[in-house]
Amino acid sequence: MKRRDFIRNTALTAAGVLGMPYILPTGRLFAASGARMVNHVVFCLFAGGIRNLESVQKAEGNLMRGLLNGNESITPDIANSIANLPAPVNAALQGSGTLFKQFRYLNGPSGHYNGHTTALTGRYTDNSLSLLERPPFPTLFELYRKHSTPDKSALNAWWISHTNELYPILNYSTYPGYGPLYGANQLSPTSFFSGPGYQAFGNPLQHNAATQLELEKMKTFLNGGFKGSGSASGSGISNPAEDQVKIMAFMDKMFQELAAGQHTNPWGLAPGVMNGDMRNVFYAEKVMQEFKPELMVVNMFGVDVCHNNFTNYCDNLRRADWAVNHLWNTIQNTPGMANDTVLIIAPEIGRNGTANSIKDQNGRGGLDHTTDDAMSRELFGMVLGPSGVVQQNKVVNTVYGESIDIVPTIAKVLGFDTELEVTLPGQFLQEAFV
Amino acid sequence: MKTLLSTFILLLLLSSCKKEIENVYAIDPVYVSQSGQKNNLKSDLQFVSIAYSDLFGQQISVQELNALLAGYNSVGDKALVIDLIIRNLLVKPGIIKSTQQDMQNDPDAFIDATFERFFVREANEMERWYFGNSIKANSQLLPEDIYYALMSAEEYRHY
Repeated sequence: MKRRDFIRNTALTAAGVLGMPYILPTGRLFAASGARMVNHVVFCLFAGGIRNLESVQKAEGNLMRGLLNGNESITPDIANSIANLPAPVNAALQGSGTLFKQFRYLNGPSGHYNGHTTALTGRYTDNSLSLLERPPFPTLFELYRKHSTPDKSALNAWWISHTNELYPILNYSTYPGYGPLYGANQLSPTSFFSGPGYQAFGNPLQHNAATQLELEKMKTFLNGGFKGSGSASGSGISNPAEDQVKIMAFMDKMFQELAAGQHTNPWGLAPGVMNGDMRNVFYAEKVMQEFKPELMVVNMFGVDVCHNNFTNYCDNLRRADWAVNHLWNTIQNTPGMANDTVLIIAPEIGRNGTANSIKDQNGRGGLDHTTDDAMSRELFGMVLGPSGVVQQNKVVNTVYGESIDIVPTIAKVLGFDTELEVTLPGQFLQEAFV
Repeated sequence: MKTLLSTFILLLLLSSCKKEIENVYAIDPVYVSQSGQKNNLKSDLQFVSIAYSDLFGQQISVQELNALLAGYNSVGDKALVIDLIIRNLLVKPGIIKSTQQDMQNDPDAFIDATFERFFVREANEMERWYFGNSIKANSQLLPEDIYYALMSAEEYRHY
């Protein structure tokens, strides 16, 4: 073959290969169009069980000045028993989006884990849901990672849970075809970045680049000669090596800041005010600033103290509200996420209409959340985002929106809704969007 | 008559003196000759406990185990957190380790001892040669670096 013919044929073959339709693993031709509304979504599960009475209906005054407009004074007995908080860093967030005052958790047991699972899978649960097992249907994280184009690494999907018990397993499901391969990076920062955590994990053996390379070679050599069965990477999600290096560097940085006292009171609040919810949001902000994930879910839980202390419930509601306001401020001050992020806020369940027999320091009765109580199914919801995407300063007073609508809404916002292989029962929250 | 006499003598011999059998019970070191014989994956709890025992020569305390497991449960990427556990254990005071000088002076002895300690088997010739060369060629390598390499390998996750 002449050289000129060879070059021509090679060029034609290359052009043909490049021009051929690419069949994706999902079976469709070409990549998804990915008509995204924004490139980042943060979902804040304002969890622990909140009644609309104390939130959007302001029965005890405006306890949520970070989210809700208004200066309604707080009921005197509560006001005298709660922490002194500075004014929120931003104006009330409802001005930056749409508030749903009659959101619903319509079906399934009104337990925290059920509520979380519903919010993260877009499906109601029933009594068969085991607290010790992963969700039976794909989570938001798996749907996002499996059906986004191009592929998304777990560095783009984070689940920041308030505790390292029970809730961490919500980062992926047992559903066939999904699972850890598409799960989120889960982190329970208040347990990990703590005094005991620092003692156990804060001072690892460090290697310079040359030694690290040598050790990697040794490991490869040893693994090459190993013929045992079973893989050690079978438990949990697994980041590629280069992403693990980034996560380790982030952890090292957090531990150094922790040891230097920079995490003791990072928001400059009065001593003792920063509670677990605030700390969880603080570390979610750190993850956000470091990795700028496209999808992050962070939860709070402090209001669940309401089972035995109504006054502290109101106090923790205020702190959680303050933290979410701070979160939005950080989003708007993080390059790459500012004006390109939708923040969705919703409790997972409500609480009962009538008090239990446990009285607090002010004689207020505690509140449980039982399945047969209608008020434990009444929530609020809020969607914030850029003015060209999200309806600003809008309030929906009628019954509109359910917990199961959050997953399909995020799917549409991030442009993978048309790629889903499973049918979701919920609806896109159209009322919130332009 | 002759047969009867022979039988009588035989019975007498058998019943007269019986050799006393002395049973000796001891544990001999058993080395697995090939890594391929390890087919069971250690559970994470087993892994942490065994890693601690291998490094410190004693059982991990409940308090320390709880601290490690709390961290383990706080991070979704288990391979990453296991690596962190190993690297943190390797700098704690009290681990049993050779000196760098001993390692450099007699790499073969160090390699044999290290493989027996962590892999519960003898190093094969190829491994002895490979690690011997690495130790000689990299004067900055510390014994704990070699421990780290072995503890990070797939074989160490199995028994």
